[in-house]
Amino acid sequence: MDFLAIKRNLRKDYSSFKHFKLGLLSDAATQFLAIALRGVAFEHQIDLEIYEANIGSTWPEINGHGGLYRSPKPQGVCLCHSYPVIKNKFYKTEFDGRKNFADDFLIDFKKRLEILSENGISYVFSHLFSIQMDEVFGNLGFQIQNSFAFQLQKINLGLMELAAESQNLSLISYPPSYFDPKLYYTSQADISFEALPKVAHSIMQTLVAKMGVVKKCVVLDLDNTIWGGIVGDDGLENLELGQLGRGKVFVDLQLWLRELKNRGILLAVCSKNEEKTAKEVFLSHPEMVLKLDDLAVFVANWCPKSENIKFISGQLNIGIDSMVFLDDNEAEREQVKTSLLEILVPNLPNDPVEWLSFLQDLNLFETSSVSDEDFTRTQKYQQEANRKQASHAHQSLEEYLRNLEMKAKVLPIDSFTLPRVAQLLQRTNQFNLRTIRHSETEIKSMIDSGNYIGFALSLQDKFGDEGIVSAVLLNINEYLFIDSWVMSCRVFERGLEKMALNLMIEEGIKLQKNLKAEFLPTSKNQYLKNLLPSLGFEEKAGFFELKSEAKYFKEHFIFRNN
Amino acid sequence: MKFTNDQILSDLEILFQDVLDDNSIRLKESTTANDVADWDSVNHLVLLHAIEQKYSLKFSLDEMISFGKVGDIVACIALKLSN
Repeated sequence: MDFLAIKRNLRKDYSSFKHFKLGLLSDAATQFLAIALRGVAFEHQIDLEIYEANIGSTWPEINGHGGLYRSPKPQGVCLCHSYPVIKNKFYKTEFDGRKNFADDFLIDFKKRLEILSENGISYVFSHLFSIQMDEVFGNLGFQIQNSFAFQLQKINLGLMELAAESQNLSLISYPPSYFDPKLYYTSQADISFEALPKVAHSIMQTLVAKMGVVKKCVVLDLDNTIWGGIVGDDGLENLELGQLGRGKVFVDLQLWLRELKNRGILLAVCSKNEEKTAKEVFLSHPEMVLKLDDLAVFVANWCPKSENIKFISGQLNIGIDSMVFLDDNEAEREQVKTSLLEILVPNLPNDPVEWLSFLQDLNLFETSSVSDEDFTRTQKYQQEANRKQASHAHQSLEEYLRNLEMKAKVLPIDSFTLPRVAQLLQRTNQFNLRTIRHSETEIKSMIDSGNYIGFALSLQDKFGDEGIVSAVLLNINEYLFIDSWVMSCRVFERGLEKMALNLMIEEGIKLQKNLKAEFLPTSKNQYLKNLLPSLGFEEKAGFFELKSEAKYFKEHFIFRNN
Repeated sequence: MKFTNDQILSDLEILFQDVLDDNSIRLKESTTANDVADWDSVNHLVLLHAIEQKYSLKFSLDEMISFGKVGDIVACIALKLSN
């Protein structure tokens, strides 16, 4: 979409979307960026409100001498730096001082982050500088500490290091040659109309990931999508894979998909094929990168693909809106798109050679954090499939649960568990009592304040170890108020919520406070609609209460392992 | 293809209506930014960008600053298209 098309979005109805307020601070003019951001936000279904500070007023705004913190306070701030402004600042620096230019910039930047964080801004978005040589030294600039190119590279590296150690900062990069001198000299806006859509998309993608809307699964067609040819017609040995024909193209696509899987994105197959024929390729073709182990679900039959995708979503217990569907066939894509409005279906170019760069360009798998858990996710879903089979073999639910031999650890929220707890709060939609997406920093300061207590639960059974799958944050006031209660959908129907409740009652008994809870319904957490009453809570004036007494303990079949 | 000033003017009218989201806009050669409600300094640049895209041409910085009324823009476009 070009800038004018994005601008037309502003006329559309945003009222049903989630609201997010973003402060926009820059030493360049941001009027066009603000239009692009709000316009692109429509595509991401966010009702983006922008507080646009005056040009060059970043420092006073951050220090509270502007409107930035005025109510409603923005959840996030976007810090932009104008390329010509920083260049002129560099040129005004004495030659000898120039070798410290990057360090000074970074000290200043870090200070800004700290003040924003002290003022309760949890998300900061900023950008790297695309390296444009000023050619004052020619290519020797790369070897001279006092050159602009050298210092700019150093700033980029420093920003990345800051982002690596801070949970608040997200970085994007501007496309190369984003700077339009004519626009800059007429308006002091540094991003060209051509580059604005891309920049706005990048910012919105990181923002949306921070808000907890992420893609979790790629559903793959097989024939002519992850290999060339049709296995049922052409036969296994004639598929384009590896050395044959365009085989390298498909191998590289598979390598990328496997990288996604290794970082926690689930892969599923949905193909019109005989299951045995399709699986045979994974088992016996020597050039296949993806193996059956890499796939969380495998569906090959002749049903409409939309039906199969619904089935996959149920198997994995994830929303259709967190799925991406890849298929070379336009008719299949249409069928899926029109029946499942929430799924994302990229319009793959006709030539497979372009697919990988096309998909990478879409940047579909933005995420706000990566934890150890991500690296074993597929395996866990496979274990879950085994469990589902086992459940058929047993008589009663109780017997099934006993047979799982479940053991749980109750863990404090500390530096070891914090990243995963924050991730659970970001990602969990279904078992999320209030869907308040506290960031890592927020949780830490809540616990440090002494006004909150919390715990995380890890669960294992005879099929495997799930890791940390649930977390609770309790606010200590007149009551013990359940600020956050989340549980991964992978461990539904195992009684872990009962164990969590018992732990909360135990805390209540210790502190001599009764439990109080609130259910904030969303379109996704209907699973919890009856949770609180079913656990014994009584509804009082929109809230739910439970006395902290031993008689309210619930029976479950999970052994405490620590 | 040859464009007359009238053709360009009526093209611009549609373009202004789209960019400024106002179908009631009517342009004459004498129209200035003061006559059109949303034609401010920000939208001025968006309009010029849209014109550059539409006719695949580029205005110079000098030209952009010199545009006082719609007629100036029309004349500049006509000149560039005839070259």
